[in-house]
Amino acid sequence: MTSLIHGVAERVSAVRADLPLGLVATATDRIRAAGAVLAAALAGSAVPPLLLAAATDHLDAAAGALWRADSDLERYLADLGVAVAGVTPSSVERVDEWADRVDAVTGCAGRPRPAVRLDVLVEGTLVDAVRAASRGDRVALRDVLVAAPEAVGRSLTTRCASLLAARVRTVEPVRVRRAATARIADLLPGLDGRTPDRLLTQALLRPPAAGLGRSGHSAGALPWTGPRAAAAGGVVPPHPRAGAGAAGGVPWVDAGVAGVVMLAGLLAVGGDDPESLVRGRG
Amino acid sequence: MGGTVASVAEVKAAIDAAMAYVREGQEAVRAANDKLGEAQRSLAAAVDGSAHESVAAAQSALAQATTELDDCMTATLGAMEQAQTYAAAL
Repeated sequence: MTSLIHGVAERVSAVRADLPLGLVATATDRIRAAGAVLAAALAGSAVPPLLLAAATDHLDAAAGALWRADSDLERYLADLGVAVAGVTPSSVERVDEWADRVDAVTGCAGRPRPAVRLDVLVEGTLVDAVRAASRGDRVALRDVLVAAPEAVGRSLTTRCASLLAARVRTVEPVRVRRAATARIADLLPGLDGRTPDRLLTQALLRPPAAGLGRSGHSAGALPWTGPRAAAAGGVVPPHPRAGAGAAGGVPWVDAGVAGVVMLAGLLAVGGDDPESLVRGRG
Repeated sequence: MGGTVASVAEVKAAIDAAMAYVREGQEAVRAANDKLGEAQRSLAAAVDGSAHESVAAAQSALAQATTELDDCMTATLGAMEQAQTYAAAL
């Protein structure tokens, strides 16, 4: 009987290890890059690449569903009474890529880490992280982020890109850069100094997804977008054929962590709370 | 409004570049869908009709992931058609 249960556990663990989270992340990277190139090329035209924004939203949802499946199977194995050490899922095995980089960017390498929480969702992680960043609490920010599994980190990065695209449109162009970068130096001492401008450029060129970032402001109602807005915000838009990488050349973990801190800065301008980032999202 | 005006040739080249990214994305989505199908079949075989709540939830989540990937593929196909139509009209 015991060997039968262990056989089931091994097969279920193999399923978890093969969940295609990496492929979904790759697809998201490629399609977001396409959206950035198109947005730059078609700025001012009547053909915004809205369908690509919808595609990345579907990928974000797919990643979330895969992570839920992973967590459900983890619970199943626990209910079987099988010790799952040694048969950890791929998403947990890869956690160090996320957590190690979070430690480096926040300047917290070597500090004891909280345990990875398998039950967290991207919305909760986002709100908690932005709240910590708003307080200027670097250690709390790092602890929230490293407690999230890598799959949640990837979804967080995707979500931050969409939210930044919505939020930059709620702030006067001349104030965008200062607001978004106000907390970067204190909270992210290990971040490449070029990263905030790269992310801002992407945000200004990217069409905001419908329904994101509702806060009483009307995201998208203000025409502060496109290359001219990017220039007004103090950032230089890339050439349309500059070969936009997954995140404009920004490593995905850096994009997620910096995105959190930049959102905190933009929220402060409007006096909005972190919960406003997830309010109204079904 | 409006930023620097790109030439028709530049816009067409940018659309070509963007579509290349989209095709790469589609390949990854197809590969993810294939792996997801394998995962669903392997899980069904492993648990062999289990009515365990967590198994049912996992299977439901995997089914949702499949739907999202299908919807993503549909969106990218629509985006490509839209871009090609736009490029042809330039």
